[in-house]
Amino acid sequence: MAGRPIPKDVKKQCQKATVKNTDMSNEMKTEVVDIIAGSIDKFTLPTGVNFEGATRAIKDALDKSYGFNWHCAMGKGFCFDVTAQNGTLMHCYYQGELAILVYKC
Amino acid sequence: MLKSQDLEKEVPPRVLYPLNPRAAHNTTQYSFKEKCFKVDEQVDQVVMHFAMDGLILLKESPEAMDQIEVFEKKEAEQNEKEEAEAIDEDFDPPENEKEIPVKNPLRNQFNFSERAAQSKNAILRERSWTTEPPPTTRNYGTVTQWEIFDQYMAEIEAAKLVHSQDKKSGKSAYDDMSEKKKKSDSDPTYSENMKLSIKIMERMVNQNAENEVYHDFKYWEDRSDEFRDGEGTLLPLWRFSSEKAKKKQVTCIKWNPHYSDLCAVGFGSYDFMRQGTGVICCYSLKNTRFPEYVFNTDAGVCSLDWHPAHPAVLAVGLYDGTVLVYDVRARTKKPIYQSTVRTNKHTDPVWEVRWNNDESTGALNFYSISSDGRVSNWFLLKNKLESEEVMELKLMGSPGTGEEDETSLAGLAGGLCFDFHSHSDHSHLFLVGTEEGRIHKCSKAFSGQYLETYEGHTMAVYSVRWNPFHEKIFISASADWTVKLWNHENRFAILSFDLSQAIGDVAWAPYSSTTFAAITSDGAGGSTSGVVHVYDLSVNRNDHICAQKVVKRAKLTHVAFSKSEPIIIVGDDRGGSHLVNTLKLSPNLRIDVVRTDETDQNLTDMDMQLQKMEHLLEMVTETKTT
Repeated sequence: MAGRPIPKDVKKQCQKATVKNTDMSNEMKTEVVDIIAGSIDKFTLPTGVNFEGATRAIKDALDKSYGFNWHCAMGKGFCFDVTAQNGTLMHCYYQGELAILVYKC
Repeated sequence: MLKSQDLEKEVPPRVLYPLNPRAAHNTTQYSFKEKCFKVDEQVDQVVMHFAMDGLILLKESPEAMDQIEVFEKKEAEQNEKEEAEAIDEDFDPPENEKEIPVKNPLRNQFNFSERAAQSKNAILRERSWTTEPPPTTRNYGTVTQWEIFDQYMAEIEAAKLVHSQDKKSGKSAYDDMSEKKKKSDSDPTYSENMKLSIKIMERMVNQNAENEVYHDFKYWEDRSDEFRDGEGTLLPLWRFSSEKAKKKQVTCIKWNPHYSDLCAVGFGSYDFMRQGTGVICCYSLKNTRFPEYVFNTDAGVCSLDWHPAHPAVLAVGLYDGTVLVYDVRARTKKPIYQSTVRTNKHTDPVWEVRWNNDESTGALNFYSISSDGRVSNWFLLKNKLESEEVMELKLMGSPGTGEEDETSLAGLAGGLCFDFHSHSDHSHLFLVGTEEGRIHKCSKAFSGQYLETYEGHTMAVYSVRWNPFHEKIFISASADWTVKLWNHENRFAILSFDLSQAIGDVAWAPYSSTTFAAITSDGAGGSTSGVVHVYDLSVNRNDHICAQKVVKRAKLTHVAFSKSEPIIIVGDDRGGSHLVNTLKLSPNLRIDVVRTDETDQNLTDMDMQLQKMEHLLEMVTETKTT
C-alpha cells in the first residue's frame, strides 16, 4: 500500500486523534475522543496496539458513561455500513494509521 | 315280690363286672427283673368309645378361681385406662339424655385440629405499552490508509494556514481563548421571574403562618358588642416591626389611596436631642413580616403623603427641613426629587406634607408646613423642585392687645399641622395648627392674612382635620390634653373632650361623620401605655365608646384609618419591637348609618351622615343655650 515512505516529522504530527465524521454534540465528541485515545494508549505495547483489549476498554467505558449498547470497531482498513442512533456515531483516526468507529444502537 | 324275710336275708352284693369281648384274656409281659414272662390276668376291660377335652371348669376348683382372678385384674386395668383418657363432657348438660355424647369417640393419635384460611386474591390486570425506538440513521464508509493520511494532511495544512494568518494579523493565542470562552449565562437565580416567584412564596408562607389572624381580619366580628351598650373594642391583628427602624419612633402613617393594603410608615425621632437618620417603610397587609419597600433618609422623617392619582409617588418631609419625593417603584433607593438650601428648603422640621390634587398648573405639586412658620407649595418640574411660598404664619398677639411690632421681632409662628378642605366649593380653604395653640383658617388664594383664627387650645396643636362628610366641621388635637370639635364659622369650639393625657393624633373615621379616634398615652401609676380612644358622637356625646390599651410601655404617636377595611393602624414610639400595630374595629365602632323603618328611603348615605352631624350639632347648641 505504501508508495513513498512518510517523512518522520509528518508522522509525528499525525499522532493525535482527529475526527473524520461524527454527529455527536461538541462536549460528547471531546469526551468520546478522550476515552478512545486513553484506552488505546493503555493497550499500546511496543510491538503494536492490542486491538482486542483496546476495543473492549472503549466499549466498556462508553457503556458506563452513555448507556447500552455501544459498538466499537478498530482497524487499519475496513468498510462499514451501520445503523446507529442519531447523535451517537463517531469515526475518528488516531496515531496516523488507526481508524476507530464507535456507535450506539 | 319280696318278702320281709327276703329282705333281711343277706343278699350277696351284686357287682357288675364289665367284660370286653375284644379284650385279651390275659396280658403277658416280659419282666427283665425275673427274666421271664409274666402273665397278668387282670386285664383292663374298659373300652373307650369317645373322649373329648372340655373347657368347662368347676367354679370352685382352684384353676377356675385363678382364672377368675386374672379376669378381674384385667378388667380393673381396663377401667383405669378408660378414666384416664375420658373426653370432657359438654358444659351445658344436654337436656335430652339422648344427646349426651358417647364417651370414647374416635380420636387421632396426634391430637391436632385442622384450621384453614384463605387470603384475598389480588385482581390481576394486564397493562402494556410500546415505546418508539430512538431514531437511527445509517452510516457507511470506508477506512483505508490513504484516507487516514489524507485527513491528517488536510488538518496540518489548515493549521499551517491559520498559523500564518495569525502571524500576519498579529493576533495572539490569548484572544482566541477569550473569544472561545462562552459568555456565561445569566444566572437564573437572579432573574426577574425568580424575584416575583420568591415574593409570592414569601407571601404565601407568611399568610399560612398567620392564617388565623387573616381569618380574624376578614371575618371575625365581636358578638359581645350587642350587649355592650354602644361600646366597642379593638382587636389587635398584626404588629409590623422592622430591624431598620429600631430605636426610632413612628412619626407618620399614611394609607395608600389606590392600593388599600399598602401603608407607608415614616420613622424618625421627636426628641430634639436624639436625632438620627430616618427610615420609610411601606408595609403591605399581604406580607406582614417584612416591609415591601424601605428607604433610608439622612434625617428623621416627620411626614409622608401618597399622591392621590399616582399611587407610587410619595412625598416626605424630614426633620432637617428637606422635602423629598420618592417613586417607590424605582429600583434605586434615592428620591427622585430633593429640596436643598438653594431651593428654599425649610429650616425647621417639616411637620406635614400634602399633595395638591388640582393639577391646573400641569406639574405635580404639594404643600408643606414647618416650624419655621412657612407654608410652601412645591412643584415637580423636570429636574428640580421649585417652591413657592403660600403663606407665612404670622404670630398673633392675644386678641385685644393687637401689638403689630411684636410679629417682626418674634418671627413667625411654628406650624405643626394643616389640612386642606376636600369639598370642591371650599378647596381653597385650609387650616393650620400652630405651636402656640391657635388654629388659623387660610386660603390658598390669599397669602397675606388669616381668614379666621380659632382660639381654644392652650398648648401646641398637633393635628387638625376636616370632617370628611360635613363641610363645616373640623377637629383638633392638642398637647393640652383636649380634643376640640369646631364649626369653622364659629370662633369657639363646639365640643371639647378632655382625655387627661397628651394626645398624639386624631383622625376621622372614613365611614362615619361622627366617629373619630384619638391616641394618647395613659400614665396611670407611672407606667406609660398607649391607649386608643374611639368616640362616636351620635352614640355618646361626652365620653368615648372605646378606650383600649394597645401597647405597653410606649406612647402612641399616630393613628390612621383604612379607607376600605375596618382596621386602624397605630404607631408608637417604641421602635424596634412594637412599632406599628394593626387593630380591627368591632362592629359597634363601625356604625355608619342607621337606617330604621322611619328613615326616608330616598336619602343617600351621605345625606344620612350629614343628618347625623346636624342632629348632633343641634343637640349641642341646645345644651349650650339652655
